[in-house]
Amino acid sequence: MDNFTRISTFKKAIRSKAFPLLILFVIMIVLFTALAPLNDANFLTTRTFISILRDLSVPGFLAIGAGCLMVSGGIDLSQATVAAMTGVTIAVSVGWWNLPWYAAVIIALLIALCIGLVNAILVNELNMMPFIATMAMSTVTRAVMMLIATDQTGQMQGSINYNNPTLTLIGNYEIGGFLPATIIAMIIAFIFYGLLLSKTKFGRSVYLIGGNPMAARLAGINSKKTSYILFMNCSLMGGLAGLIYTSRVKQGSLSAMATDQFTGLTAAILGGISFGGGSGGMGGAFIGLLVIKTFNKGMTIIGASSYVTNVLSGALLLAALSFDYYSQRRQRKRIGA
Amino acid sequence: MSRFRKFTQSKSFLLIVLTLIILAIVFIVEPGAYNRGNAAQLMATLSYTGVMLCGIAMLLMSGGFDFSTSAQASVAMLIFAELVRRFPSVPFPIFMLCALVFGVISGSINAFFADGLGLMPFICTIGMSSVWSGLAALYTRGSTIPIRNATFNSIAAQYVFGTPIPWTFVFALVLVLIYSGVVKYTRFGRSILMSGGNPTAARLAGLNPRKIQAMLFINNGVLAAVAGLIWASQQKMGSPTGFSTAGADMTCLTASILGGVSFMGGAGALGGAFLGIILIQVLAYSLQVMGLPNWVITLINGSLLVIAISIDTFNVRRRMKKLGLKTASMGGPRMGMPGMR
Repeated sequence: MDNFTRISTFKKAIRSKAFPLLILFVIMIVLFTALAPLNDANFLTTRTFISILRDLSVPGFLAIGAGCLMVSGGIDLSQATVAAMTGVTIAVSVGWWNLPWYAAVIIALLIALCIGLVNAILVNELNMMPFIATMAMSTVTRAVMMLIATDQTGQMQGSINYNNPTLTLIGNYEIGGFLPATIIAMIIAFIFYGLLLSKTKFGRSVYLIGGNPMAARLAGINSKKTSYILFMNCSLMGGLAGLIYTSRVKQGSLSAMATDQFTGLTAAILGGISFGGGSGGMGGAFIGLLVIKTFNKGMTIIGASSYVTNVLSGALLLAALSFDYYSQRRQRKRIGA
Repeated sequence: MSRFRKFTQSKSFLLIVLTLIILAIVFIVEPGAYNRGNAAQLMATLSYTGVMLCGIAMLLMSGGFDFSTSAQASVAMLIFAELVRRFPSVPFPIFMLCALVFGVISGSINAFFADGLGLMPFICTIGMSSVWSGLAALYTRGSTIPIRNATFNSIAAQYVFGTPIPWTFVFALVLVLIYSGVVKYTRFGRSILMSGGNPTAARLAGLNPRKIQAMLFINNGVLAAVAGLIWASQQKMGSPTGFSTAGADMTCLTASILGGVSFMGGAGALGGAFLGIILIQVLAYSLQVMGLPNWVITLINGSLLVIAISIDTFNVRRRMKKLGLKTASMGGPRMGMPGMR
């Protein structure tokens, strides 16, 4: 016991998976600051960092939902489609059906919850693999989205505009004129879910289910119920992300957030939530996301094309996976398994 | 049981009947759809998806999957198209070879991640898909590369003795027969099924499941390149998005599972998978011909996958129960991914 307490918080921080990411973050800042003048731009400014955080707030919600689910060993690939679906539903309800904005938001989030419920049923009751079940659900959701986006003349609209000042304010309100409120909301959500996972009985059970499902069952944990909650939570977070996004761009788009489909996933793995569950946390996921978005922003500032960023984001996912694999192997070796 | 009765109870029979029913419905609703043009177009789609199917179905039998198949096909045909544009005087078969070599390389990369490092095939191929399609978009800036080689372009336009069946379809059919023969009658084919169904037992029996799957990944890369070349010849161009927008690899996945290739690896025959892809393409074409809106087509595609996998999962569980095995590890809240070793 004495040995345990002697490992200082500092040492623990260095040993954690998020630490290399922090170093990577610092290196990136130095590198982009040095390279930015070549493109007649400036990287190290408050505006850059606020804009990075602002870019982060939409995928931040995705990462929270995906991260919690992954800790328990599940996965959801329909999240980004759910986000797009939420945006389209809100835009259609407000723009075409003239519903009040709060009704539109409630309907859209309820739909998101329903999709999460169907995912959970497919996985838990029909015993389908989460990976493929959610992938198929993503296609089904897309079909429903296309139906909703079909106007009276039978034409499918790629994007639906709406005009509602309150709704637009949700994603665009800036505290004091410079700090977007969504950043604060995202940080609060990260802290809330971080505490939920690490400090509560429910959070502990999520880790146990992810790490050793058999032991969890023997310990009397209702893993099915937890799985239902996490799948629905994942879709709900997708819905919130979609709400902020649609509020920001003032329209609902069928192709919204298509590029962010794997951002939440990559961030979670980068931050130490490993595949198969049982490890990692919200802090790591946040830093993972920070690294990804800083990288994207930096690439834009030094003038690289979006195509390059696309290629590198795939490479980043692979790198994160390989890194995860190696650290898992090292860990297994250490405990002699 | 007589051979005929066995056949009428098989999955293949069901697929054939379903296809005929769809064709009959189309005949009643839209008799004008039965023309040469539609038939030729259907056959053209079947020829490149058929080739792609062989790679994907074989990989599925070994318990793997490759989400980057479409992206690989796109890159392969872009390499070919660009080389033909740059060096018009060099005979084009050399460049076809280059495209196939790319297939070997990309397949090897997948094999390295999935079997060398032991990552989940499903996830690491998603990463590779993003890398390849990103590179394709980066090089072409999103536009297509026209192919102006008349000989190459006429390959896909060669029809069997005046029928609307192109030779490329015959090629796909022959490939399906060859691969199906390999699975059924050779030692290697048996070892694929065994290593997919029970990797531990396969290892104890002296097989190397990882090596077998690595070979199938490379095989899949090469076949993806071939499918890309067929598409390029049909469309007379190379396109960075031609395959991914059509979702060809997901179609092949659904078809394989419909045809009885198990998602958990270790079961299935290519003939059934080919019938599955005929059913899917006939269905897709019929829906289009009958003028149904786009969302219905997407919905049917998505539901078909869900239904096919539900049936597959149900069958696997029943089989396991018959053998007296526990089924807890199959799916459930855990990943239960094939290929996790």
